[in-house]
Amino acid sequence: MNARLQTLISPLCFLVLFCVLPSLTFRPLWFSVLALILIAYRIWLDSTRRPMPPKPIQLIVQGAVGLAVWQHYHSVFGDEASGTWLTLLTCLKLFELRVKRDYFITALLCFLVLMSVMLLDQSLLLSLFMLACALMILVFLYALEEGAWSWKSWRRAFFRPAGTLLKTLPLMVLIFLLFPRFSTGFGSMTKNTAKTGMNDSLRPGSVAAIVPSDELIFRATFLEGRPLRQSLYWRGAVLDQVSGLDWDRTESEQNLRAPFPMSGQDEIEIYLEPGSGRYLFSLDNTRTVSISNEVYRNRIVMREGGIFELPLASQVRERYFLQPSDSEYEQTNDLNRYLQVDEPPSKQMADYLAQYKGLNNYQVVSKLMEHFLNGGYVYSLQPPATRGIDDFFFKTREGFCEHFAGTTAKILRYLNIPSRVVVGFQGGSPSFLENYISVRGHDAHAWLEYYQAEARRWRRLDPTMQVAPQRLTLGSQEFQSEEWMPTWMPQEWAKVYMKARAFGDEIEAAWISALLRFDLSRQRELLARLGMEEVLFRALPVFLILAIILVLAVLYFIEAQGREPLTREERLYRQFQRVLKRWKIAKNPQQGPLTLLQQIEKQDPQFAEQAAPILSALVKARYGRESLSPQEARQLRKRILAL
Amino acid sequence: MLEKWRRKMVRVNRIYIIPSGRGMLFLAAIVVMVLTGATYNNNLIFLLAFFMFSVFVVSMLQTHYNIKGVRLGFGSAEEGFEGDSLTLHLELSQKRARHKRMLRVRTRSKTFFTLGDHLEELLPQESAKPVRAEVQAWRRGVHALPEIILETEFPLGLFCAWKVFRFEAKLVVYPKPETKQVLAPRSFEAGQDDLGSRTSPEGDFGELKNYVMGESYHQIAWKHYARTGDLYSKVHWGEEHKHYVIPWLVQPTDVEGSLRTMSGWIKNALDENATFELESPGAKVEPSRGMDHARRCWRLLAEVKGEAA
Repeated sequence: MNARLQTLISPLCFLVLFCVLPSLTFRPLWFSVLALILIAYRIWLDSTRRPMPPKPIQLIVQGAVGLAVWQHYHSVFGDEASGTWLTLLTCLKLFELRVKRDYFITALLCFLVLMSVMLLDQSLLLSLFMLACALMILVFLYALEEGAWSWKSWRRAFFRPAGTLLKTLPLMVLIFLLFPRFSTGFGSMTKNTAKTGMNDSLRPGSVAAIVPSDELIFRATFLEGRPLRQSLYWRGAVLDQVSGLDWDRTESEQNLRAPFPMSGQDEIEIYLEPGSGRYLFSLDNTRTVSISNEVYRNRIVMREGGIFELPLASQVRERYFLQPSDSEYEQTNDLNRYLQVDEPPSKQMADYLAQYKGLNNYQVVSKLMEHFLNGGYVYSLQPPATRGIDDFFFKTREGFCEHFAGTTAKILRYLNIPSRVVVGFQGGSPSFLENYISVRGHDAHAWLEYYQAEARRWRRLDPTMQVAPQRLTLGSQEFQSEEWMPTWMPQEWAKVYMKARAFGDEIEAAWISALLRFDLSRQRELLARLGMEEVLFRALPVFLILAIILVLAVLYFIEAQGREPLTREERLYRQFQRVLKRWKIAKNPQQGPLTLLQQIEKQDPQFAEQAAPILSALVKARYGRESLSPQEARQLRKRILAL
Repeated sequence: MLEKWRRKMVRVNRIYIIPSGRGMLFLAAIVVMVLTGATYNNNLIFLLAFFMFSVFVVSMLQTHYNIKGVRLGFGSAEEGFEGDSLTLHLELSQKRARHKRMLRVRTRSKTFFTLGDHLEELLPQESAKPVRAEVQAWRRGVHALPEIILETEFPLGLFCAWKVFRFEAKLVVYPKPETKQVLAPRSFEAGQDDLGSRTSPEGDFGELKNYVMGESYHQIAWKHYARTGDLYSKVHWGEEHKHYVIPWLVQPTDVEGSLRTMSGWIKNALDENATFELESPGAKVEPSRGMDHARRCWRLLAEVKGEAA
């Protein structure tokens, strides 16, 4: 093999290592270990000048890797499986470096590895790291074309690619803005890996299980004023079927319908993090939602209870809008569903319920809330195990929001008031600059809604408010900060930590909204603002090509204007000439340094005395055997400037 | 027909540029990325794809610029045998002081195959630089100089830019010497009055004899003249001198074979430092010896119109 090409092996190994690093956090453990072993082994082989493993062994390892991926994901397709497979194949490609083309293909695979990571995460930090990786791939491609790599002059190897990077940036931004966004119609078809753990059922402890999580669920920006934290009830699922203390949702296809068409202005913009399940969280008064992802645009489902869902859990970050309304839009035809109970009230319960006889809905609810307030109930993340509603209501009296909501809803049904349980999030913490709120796992909450026959509408009721009002006014963050703070961190640091995190989150959100915001609709908006008519919008590809040609012409002009880099001596000589100009000594363009000195002697002998040693040093360096060292050049420069 | 059309369309000193094989792979990766970005509605992937595309087009500019302003001039071409490598002496030049890197010179021809893979560089201070191209000749004959192509893939190898140069020159390829048949020389003893009998610089020095007007200057014993002032000429003896009369044996059934045999005889005569002569139906090469003489004879063989020429 070409000995010069071999100098490129270790840089290529490090390049692959850098590109693989971010994916180590997302992929299974065996993958990380295997990838690191492969790269380390290749570097060791190269440093000890040992031969590569024979072809049959390589084939066996390649097959084994394919099998391992299959075993783990039951497929080699899909974003995660194929990303894992591709990354491992890139590591294995390091063992097949024979001709220049192999090196090139490996570098190209590094780009695809970066892409597979971008499918999983698009945070700002990672994006910056990716940019660095992309620059490194470019440096490698340059070195590959030169045919060799030297660790000694690695810094110089960055100059040219960095220059290219600067030239590509305007073109990249231009294409990004003008490239017509289209949909391939495939969408993401992977299985639901919701991290919220929220689904269509509520068991005692199921919300409490989510609460310790600090994971971001979504960010919401209020385009017109922010309401109070206490009033932010983000509705996820509405559960109508009760069994003991468990609540579930009736799967009825009749409850499905398309959302109302949009009218007027959007008021709340939401960035839903990937893996947050199917729910498009919305507020009580949400009239309709619209999503920016073309794939889902016409596939949003509105269920009875006024909640909105995607057809399947999205694996990418989604952006959607809520359009609220002052009036109640939900029409409930079949109230009987909300009155059914799985068991008749026990004797103790029936005795207790007797005191509610003859009261109207409003009075019943007030009295019940009063009972929670004064009944010695405790709000706790680790409530004792309860067997049925009576056990909780009369004995343990200690529970989390799902206990209070579930029990209250069931009691209302006993009293012939239609009710249902809602699962979702409550509140959210404001960002550093207070321009959006972020809702995290610990904001998970459950509450209930009852039907007010007089007003013919559903009313929200949150018994937790009676038991632990701070939970709602301060937010879950402050209320139970010890639950999600890193264990090693002293309690006093909580405030600082929260501020710092909010600041980081603010930057992150700005990046996400800048990056994710730019979809087809944003593109349309931007170009409309720039004066492009809708008709012209269809001819976007033409504009794109014209714009690229224009930028290329400018770049080519710059390239043609660009001078070759000067040597140190030339640069100093030019500086010397500039000094001469200041002294009003005109130089003839054809004049060499020695005749120039003669001329200076004639015009200004005093100046010539100072200039002579400088000029002779420059001449010696330019035409002599040894050129100037950086230190010498610096000294000479000082002397020239001192003239 | 196609070749004619091509020669008409492809102009000398114009820059042509297309993506190389690697460039195509690069483009394919970009397409994969754009499709993935669209499928997952992922703007970050779009950004990466557009970054790669920008690198692609910027590298196109750089490749184009790297060959712009560079000209190729023709110096001379060596002659040689079939299958041997012939050296073409060329010159790279530029008017503006620019740094041009990784320039490759090759020929475009079915008859000649460019050997080696040297990359040339023109520094800003070099306005011209001699370069060589080694080609392998497959077929005997006097060929027109093939198109010379100056190409570059600098800086990333994603694009290949080239210029075509056509020079009015001939490339002579002699028949490969074959020595299956042996040709008997006509021999002369030293002193015999025949061509070259006393002109051999080799052989043992025999004696001096008085110089007679008309004898070759080469035979004059100059050292002796310097010492004594008398003119003597040297006589060598002991060496049997050979002379070959190479017969013109071109058979219509096997032109190449017979030419190779004749070429072999010339080579033999040259190796033995014998004198030789050759007479073709159209021309006669007078008896002589040495490399130049052999070349004249070989060129005569190369010019023969046959199955290959």
